[in-house]
Amino acid sequence: MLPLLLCLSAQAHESEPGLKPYVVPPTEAAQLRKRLRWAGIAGMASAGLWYFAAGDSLGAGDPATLLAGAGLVATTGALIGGSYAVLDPREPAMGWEASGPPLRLTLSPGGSTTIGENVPYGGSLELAPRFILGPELQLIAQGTLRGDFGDRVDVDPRPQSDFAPALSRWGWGADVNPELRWYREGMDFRLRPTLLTRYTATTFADGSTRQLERQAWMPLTLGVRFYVSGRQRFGLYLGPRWDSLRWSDGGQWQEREVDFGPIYGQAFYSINRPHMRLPGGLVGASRLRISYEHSNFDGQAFDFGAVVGFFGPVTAQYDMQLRRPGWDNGVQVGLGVSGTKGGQVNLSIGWNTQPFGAVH
Amino acid sequence: MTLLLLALMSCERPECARPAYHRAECRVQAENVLARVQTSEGVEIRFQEAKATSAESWSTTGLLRNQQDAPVFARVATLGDFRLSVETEEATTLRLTLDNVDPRIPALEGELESSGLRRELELELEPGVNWIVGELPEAVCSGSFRLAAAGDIQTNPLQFRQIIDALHTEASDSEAEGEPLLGLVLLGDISEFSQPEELTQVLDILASSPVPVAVIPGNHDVYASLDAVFNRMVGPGNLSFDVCSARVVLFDTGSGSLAPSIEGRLPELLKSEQPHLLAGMHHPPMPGNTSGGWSDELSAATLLAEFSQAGGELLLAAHVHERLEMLDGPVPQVVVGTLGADQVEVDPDYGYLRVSVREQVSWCFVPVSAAGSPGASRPPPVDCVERSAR
Repeated sequence: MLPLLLCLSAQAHESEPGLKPYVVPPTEAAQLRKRLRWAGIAGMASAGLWYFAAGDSLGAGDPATLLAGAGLVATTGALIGGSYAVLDPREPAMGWEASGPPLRLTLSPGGSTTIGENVPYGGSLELAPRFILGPELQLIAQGTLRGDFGDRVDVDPRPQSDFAPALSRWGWGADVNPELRWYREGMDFRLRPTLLTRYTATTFADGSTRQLERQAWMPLTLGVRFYVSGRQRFGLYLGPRWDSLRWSDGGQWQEREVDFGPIYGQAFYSINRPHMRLPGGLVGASRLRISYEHSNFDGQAFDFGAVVGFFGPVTAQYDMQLRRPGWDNGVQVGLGVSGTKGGQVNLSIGWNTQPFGAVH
Repeated sequence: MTLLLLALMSCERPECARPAYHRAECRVQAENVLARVQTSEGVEIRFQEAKATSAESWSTTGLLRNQQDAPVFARVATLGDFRLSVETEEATTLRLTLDNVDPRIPALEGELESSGLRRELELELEPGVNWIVGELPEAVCSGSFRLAAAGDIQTNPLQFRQIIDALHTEASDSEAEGEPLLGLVLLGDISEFSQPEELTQVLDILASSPVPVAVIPGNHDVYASLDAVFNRMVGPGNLSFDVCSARVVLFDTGSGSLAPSIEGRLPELLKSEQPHLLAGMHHPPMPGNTSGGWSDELSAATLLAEFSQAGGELLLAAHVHERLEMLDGPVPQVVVGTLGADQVEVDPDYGYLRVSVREQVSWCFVPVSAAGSPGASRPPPVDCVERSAR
């Protein structure tokens, strides 16, 4: 799969914030898309063979599952890119585009249709200012604070329990994941050391309580992103993960246990839609991003049939940045859907601006 | 029309009023519904905790069902002692078939016949609450004892049959060594497609077991949405019981996590006066790099914290079709997915884990090679790993 992906870089280009925009001839983009599709199919087929023919069943483990997830994203991306090419063949230069905003607020709607239960709304505040360190080097100082706006309550469904509350839980957490990007011809390389922390306060059915602190350390997460065309990208992240767990019943915290965890990985494909004129003199630029993340740290696994616990979340995110012509700033709104067992939806609003150090 | 549909979708209803048995929470409801039964004569039979004194509630320690033209069927889900309450308003006679009963338990009241793990009873019931009580003789629990454990049969029940045959040798050897084998803990994935025929085949094999078998489901046993097939045919997936000096707590993790209500009851389920505490589940809460972990890592972390806090000594799991020991986490975890499921290898590593409960808990893997196999590709550990009791 990797040699095929490396082929993608042959005629790649960029139009990131702080970098020069550019145009790719549609014929070249079609060729690159074809390579992405075959790379995806090869990835999924290799994972299948590894699992069922050449490996030791589940002994194939994280690498095979990651390969399957990345292959799925690559194949889906190539299909989406192909559909776009037919339905909307414009491939214009873009001076700015929908991208990760330096400031973003996200809301995950809650609510439950089960009597006595509550799923709280969740929210997050994400800071990701971008710093230009050189013509090919950028730093995105990413950090996120997230939490529930209330308790999650689950009832006991046993007939002999009168459906009394069995579990009440509230959680918050923080992500620290600064990313260094090195832009090269047709691709960029990334280093994203990551620390995820989650605190959870649980009240059990008998009234006892427990505080949990979970952390996932991923100091060596490396990424690479290939340009399929001026507006299509495919990327991968990979790195080892260490987990730590400690708990308390309100008093002393237990000593932290640190163990080698599952391999962390992520694959994503994104496609930007050309600018469009909107009412009120606004110009909009949108982006569809699909991703697979090999991590069940936040419990959003993509389970189907007997395939349970193997895959992390598969997510589709649609963002649109709105600007007035000539403005350096824009507002970005987004809708995300995770194809998980819960079908998580989130809404976001962000503020985009020029990177620090950009030439105006 | 759209508004009407939206309104209907947002209507509040009780948990599992719309059954979806691929959800762990609905299986909790099913296993509790199926742990009691009422006969056409109005006799109410309920599985109880082994030390229960009141029949007001009931417990998921077994499976009950009425059968056409046959006695009421009761499958004990636990190992060792068990108890049922039988409540009637009028004096009457009840015929009952009890399955998965330890052969060492002395004859029960009203027992007509005993064969292997099965007892046929005909009870003369007095008005009020009557009890059926099965207790291991004190001599059985006077010293150390053994349990066998493993999971993952899936597409190879014939290999599982060989392992059950091997348990006969284990049972007689252990008896001779003064450390009786008290049961097998079957850690899920007893079928490939959650089909009733597959479960029937495994239950038929279990009928030849020398010791009772506590069975919990895996992801392959519980993905049928409209039929709680595992709970209906085999029994509960979440249960806690005492066997001699050990508390054994088994969890249904077939959906990749605990049901939230089971998570909420963890302190209650893990609480015990016994000196030893063991837990079994299908998905390993510490998966390493197997990609075989829980769908919700918070649920796994909560279990690890509560089990460790309660003094748990050993976590048993399967799901990964090999044997792995992970001893560096909050509690020791042993994975034994070795009952017959495909391991791809020419020389698969089939067998079961022997858990010895003495003053300390220790374990060894006992290989049971496939027919015609030159032997397990990885030799079993020469010595058991000794773990300290609480």
